[in-house]
Amino acid sequence: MIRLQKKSLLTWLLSVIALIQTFAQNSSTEGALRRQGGIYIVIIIIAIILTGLYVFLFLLERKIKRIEKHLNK
Amino acid sequence: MNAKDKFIQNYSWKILSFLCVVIAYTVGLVMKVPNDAKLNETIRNLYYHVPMWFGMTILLIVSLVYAIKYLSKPTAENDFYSSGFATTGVVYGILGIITGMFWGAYAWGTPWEMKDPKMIGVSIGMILYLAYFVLRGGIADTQQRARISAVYNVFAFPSFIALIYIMPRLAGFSLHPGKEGNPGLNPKDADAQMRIVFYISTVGVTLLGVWITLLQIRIKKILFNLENQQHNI
Repeated sequence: MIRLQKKSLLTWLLSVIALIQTFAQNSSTEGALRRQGGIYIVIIIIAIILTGLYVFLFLLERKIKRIEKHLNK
Repeated sequence: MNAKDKFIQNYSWKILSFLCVVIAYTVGLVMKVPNDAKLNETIRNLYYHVPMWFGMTILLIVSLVYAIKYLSKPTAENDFYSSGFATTGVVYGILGIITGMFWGAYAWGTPWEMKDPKMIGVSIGMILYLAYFVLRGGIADTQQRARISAVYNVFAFPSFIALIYIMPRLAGFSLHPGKEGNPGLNPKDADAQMRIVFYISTVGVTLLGVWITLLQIRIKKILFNLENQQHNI
């Protein structure tokens, strides 16, 4: 179970890194995003933060579930 | 019920909450808004500031329902639910006040307009609910604490609603919109498209509050059971 959790976290982190890299490449080629004023970057950052918070809540719930199971034994 | 059904039942509304919040918080930034000379872009706060108040009201209603439930059937669980939902509701209210102060500083030129009846009402209302937690903290006996705070909750909620929804409309003067009817959703300020995003945001934020509350309640239960075990030993 712990291994699974670590794996899902890892995939999440990797996808975020991949996302950042795509945008890093864009900005190196005189980014169209920068000319647009960059509001899309802000939106992506908000989405990442919200995803992180929800993942955190999800993991917290799993932790609580584990404690409940442990106590019921 | 098999494991898959259980998983869907357990997580579908949490995923719905996530989708609603992410959609409303991102689409809300880019979607076209009506021109308003005074509010300008801050009209978008309708998606972020107002759902806090709507979510708070819903959470406090649930808290009231469990307080009444406790009075008719005094179980520890009903008390956990009642106090848990009140806690999250007050957190949402505080977030609403803070975000509202920033908005007010821009739109009205002052973060705290003392003449605004809604602000007076909400500050008294928040004190009402803070008193609820002071009351709970002050009583050591768990059963007595649960019963007295449930009674207090039943009285605090109607006063709070009167202070933030009824009194501002009677006052005749308010910087907040909606004294003519529906609070927060003045048809002159918000067009139909904005309203859709607003409702999505409200659903997402409210469900998020419910999730946080349920986690809190489970922690309370664990602590309660641990204490009981220690007593039995």
